[in-house]
Amino acid sequence: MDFQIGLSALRASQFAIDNVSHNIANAGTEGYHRREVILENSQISIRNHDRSLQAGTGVDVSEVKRIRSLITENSLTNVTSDLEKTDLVLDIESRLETILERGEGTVKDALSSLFDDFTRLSANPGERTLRSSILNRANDLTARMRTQSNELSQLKFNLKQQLEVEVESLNRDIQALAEIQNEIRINNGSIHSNEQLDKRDQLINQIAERVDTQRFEFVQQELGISLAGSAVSIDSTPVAFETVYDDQGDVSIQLVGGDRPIDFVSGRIAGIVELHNDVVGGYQDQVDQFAGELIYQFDKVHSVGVGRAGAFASLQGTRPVSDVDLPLSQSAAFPVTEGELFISVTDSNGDVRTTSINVDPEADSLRDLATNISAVDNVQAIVDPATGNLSIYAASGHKFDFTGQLETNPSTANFFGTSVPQVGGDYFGEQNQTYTVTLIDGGEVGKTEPLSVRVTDGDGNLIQDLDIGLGYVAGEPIDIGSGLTVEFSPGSVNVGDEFEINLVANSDTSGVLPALGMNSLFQGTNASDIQLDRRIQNTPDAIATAASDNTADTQNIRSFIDLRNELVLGDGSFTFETFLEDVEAEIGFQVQTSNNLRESLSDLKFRFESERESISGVDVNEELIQLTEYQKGYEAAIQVIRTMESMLDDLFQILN
Amino acid sequence: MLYRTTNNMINDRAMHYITQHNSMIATFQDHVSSGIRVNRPSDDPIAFRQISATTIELNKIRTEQTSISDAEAKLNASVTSLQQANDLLVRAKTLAQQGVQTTSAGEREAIAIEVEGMLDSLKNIATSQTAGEYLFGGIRSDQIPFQFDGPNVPGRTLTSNYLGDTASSVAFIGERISVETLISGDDVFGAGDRGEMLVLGSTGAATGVGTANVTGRASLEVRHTTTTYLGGSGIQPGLSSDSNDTLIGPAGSSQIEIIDQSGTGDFGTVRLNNGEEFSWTSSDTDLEVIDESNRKLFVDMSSITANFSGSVSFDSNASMSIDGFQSSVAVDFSASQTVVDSINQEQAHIDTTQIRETGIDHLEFPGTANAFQVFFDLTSDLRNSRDLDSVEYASSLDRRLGELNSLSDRILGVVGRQSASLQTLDELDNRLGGLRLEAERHIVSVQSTDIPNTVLQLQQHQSLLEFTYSVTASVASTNILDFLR
Repeated sequence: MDFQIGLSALRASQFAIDNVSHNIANAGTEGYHRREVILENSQISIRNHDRSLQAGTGVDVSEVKRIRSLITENSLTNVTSDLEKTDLVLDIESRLETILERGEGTVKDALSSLFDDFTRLSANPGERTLRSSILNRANDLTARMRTQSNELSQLKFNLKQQLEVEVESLNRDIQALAEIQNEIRINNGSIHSNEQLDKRDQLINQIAERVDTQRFEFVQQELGISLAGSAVSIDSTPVAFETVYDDQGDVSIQLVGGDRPIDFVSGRIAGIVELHNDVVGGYQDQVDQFAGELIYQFDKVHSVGVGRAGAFASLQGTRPVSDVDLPLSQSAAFPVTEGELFISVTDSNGDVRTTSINVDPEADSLRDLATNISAVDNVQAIVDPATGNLSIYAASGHKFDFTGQLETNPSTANFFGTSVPQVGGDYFGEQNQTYTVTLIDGGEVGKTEPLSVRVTDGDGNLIQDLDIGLGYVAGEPIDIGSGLTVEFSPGSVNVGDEFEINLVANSDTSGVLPALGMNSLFQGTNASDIQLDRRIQNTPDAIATAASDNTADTQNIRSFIDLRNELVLGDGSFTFETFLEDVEAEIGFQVQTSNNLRESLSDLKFRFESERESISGVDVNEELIQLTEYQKGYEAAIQVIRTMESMLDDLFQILN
Repeated sequence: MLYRTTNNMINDRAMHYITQHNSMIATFQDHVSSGIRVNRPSDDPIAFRQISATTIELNKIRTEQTSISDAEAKLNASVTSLQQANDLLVRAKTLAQQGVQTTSAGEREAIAIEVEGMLDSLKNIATSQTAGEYLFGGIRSDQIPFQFDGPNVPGRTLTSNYLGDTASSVAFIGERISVETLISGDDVFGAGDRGEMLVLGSTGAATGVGTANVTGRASLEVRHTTTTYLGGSGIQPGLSSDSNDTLIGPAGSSQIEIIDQSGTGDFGTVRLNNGEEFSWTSSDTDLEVIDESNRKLFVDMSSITANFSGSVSFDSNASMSIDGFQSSVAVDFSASQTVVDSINQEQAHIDTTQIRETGIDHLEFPGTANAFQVFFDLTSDLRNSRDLDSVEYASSLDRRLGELNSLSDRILGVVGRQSASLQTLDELDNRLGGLRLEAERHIVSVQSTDIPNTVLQLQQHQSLLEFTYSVTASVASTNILDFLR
């Protein structure tokens, strides 16, 4: 007769009731896995009448089991990692979307308004308010681009800061995981190890929120962890990570003391690295590419025009070279190609001399270019080695520009008659070339019959034969096509007399003017430093809309308007406006994709959480039923003890 | 399949669906309240891009319509001015015809005064402005395009300098359309095609070989310089011969017949060509001798050779000028001599072979006068300031009529071109109006909320939310504790 059996039942029930209470108490605790008490009957062998019989000696609590599914836990860990990354990416992409497309007042709106104003100005070239409006639009455009660039830089900076915090937290969590794992080893099998295992699971999930994590569980509660597909140590000297930045400012994660970047694919850290280097960095590149091309193309047009004041007495470049002695191909802010630069110098009588300067960016430095410009009569170019800028000055009584003006009084070095030839009109051909005008006959202009003149192009092809003899009114312009006229004053001409007409369709085929910021509309080279040129800033009349100082000359406005439809971006695929539309659509698609992915992962996580809850969650009703069950068992155990006591009492009365 | 359902699961599921429904309700509320379905690129990237591209297109259309309106305002102002100019030309033609028909000097003067008034009106039209820009200065629209002054040399016409530019200002509308707005005044009011030079007068000058570049009209003045008598008659140029001889010609073109009746050279008779006989004595040192054409020579008869009777050949030289003798050229009686206006450096070619008399001839250069000069010349001709005979007077007015007709044709041609531009702009404006409506419709259709559909969806999610609340409350209220008590 043994009280131990009843006592063991009493203890077991008590223990089970405690466990139920613990489960109920932690029903709402994050990461808690319900416990189940595993009871085991205790048996000993008793011999009776030579027969070996077994009778129980009571009940033991063999184990407090933590109810969980490793598959579900691992799935949840994985999806947590993916979801954290997607959440973060979505958050940042939404911010990017706001930066790039903020509803009213976008870069695209400002650019469209600028183009619209140029179109309006062509119909009202004398309207000063429209010129002021163009300046305001351009100012607005540059301010928005700078704001956009600044916001992107700030976002990137914030990502860097967040990355530092995340890496630090990751290292801390790995350290904590190592410590808890050590405690688990010490307490292995004890009731305390369940709490530590819960804590370990929580830490693993915390780590998974930051980087892609795989757990491997072994016997004796041993644990292996793999981060980004590589097993890492969680022993007494756990691994630690650090951030590393390359020359381009791109960030990567390395093991402390390691020498190669680790490619995390999920978790917040993977998201931040991707966002920092590729997404935000990518949009920064696109915004800078847009700004750079905008500056270059607008300045290319602006540099070869003039404002209402006409040609310049002096000009200072605003875009420095990196080294005044290095070839322009290596030192200029924008690409310079081999080509020609035409500089037109006008004297006080209005006579124009247009001179071609060859530009070879592989050979010519800024100093060389300045020397070549200074070789042109009545202009001087000066290089400031300290700033890397070029300045050009006209001699007293002279002015210069880069419009490639027609020389109205061509050089008559090979023209020996007393008649004076003149050229007029506006060349509208598409190529730079030289016409040669040669006298086939000699005689008196307007009198001799015949008196033929031959006009040929640079290849010797006949353009037109003219008759300036009898019937020609001396001094009357004769149309020779391409918008040009020639005229001969009264006087004599000789057989073989000739002169050349330099025809300039593009006065800067090298692109050296925008590269050096000469007569530019904008300053800067990218979205962060773009602004209106100081010379233009408060002077609407200085906007180079014309090729002459005539108020209603709209020649250069046409070039500005044409920029709107030119495919200048994306390797000739996009106009300025369609490029911005494409960027907006791209971020829109990215946000939409991330949002869809987030919803999908969120649903998946919800399913896995439900699954885990189904397995490991505490059902209060279930626990209450168990509580009732163990309460009944407890009462039965008391009854057993009472019965034993009664039997003992009866036995003692016999003995007495 | 889930085997166990815990209270947490019920709560989580409730929270999950409540959040989901609330989120959708908030989205639909926004769509319905704002009336806009696509606010951000991520709402619908494809639709957003369509909206964005169409909005830019719409703004371009609006700008182009504004530009059309601005260009039309200029073209309308220009056309109106040119029609007024043409009205003046029509009236001037009527007045010129009246001038031909009337013989009353007073009536001609009245007509001339009216034409003078019309010239002022024409000058006003040519220098008219719209919105601060001169209509007829080409691209030089901020400067008065014409400068007027009186004739710089007697016999020449009004001085009129075009200060504008020959290039027209161009407005660019759309991708391919460009319209000339401010045109060159020289193209409108300038001279036409040069015709053959006309010489009106009695000196014998004629049109030489070569193309003149004098514009309008000029006076060719022939002045006597020296007379040289050939042979041994003893006749000498008179004291005032240089300044007063009017007969011009090379040797052999005229002759003077001298008869010494005294036999001593003291007196006799003298006859110039077929003119009347004049008596002379040896005391005549400046005797006026006139021929049948009233041409004069002043001769010195003081040294006539005794007993001389016979004809004497002589050279009577002259010089000519078209700039009031600020410069001149000696007449060499050749087929083509060039005479230059030293002020304008313009030149004319004169056949001087038949010049036989001093005087002022009137040169006309048909087709070279601009509109203002034609009006000026018309007033001069109505007043017969060149003192033409009635036939030449009528002819000159006829020529002015012809020039007025040419000018009218030219101006109407410009009006036609500008009207065609206006029509093109009108058509473009109409087309843009259609495109604008289509663009606006497209934006609305893509961007706007489909209200009925959205309200239905909103209602659906509201109902689901209510069901979630209801079922959660019901499930959560069921607890075994209620039964254990």
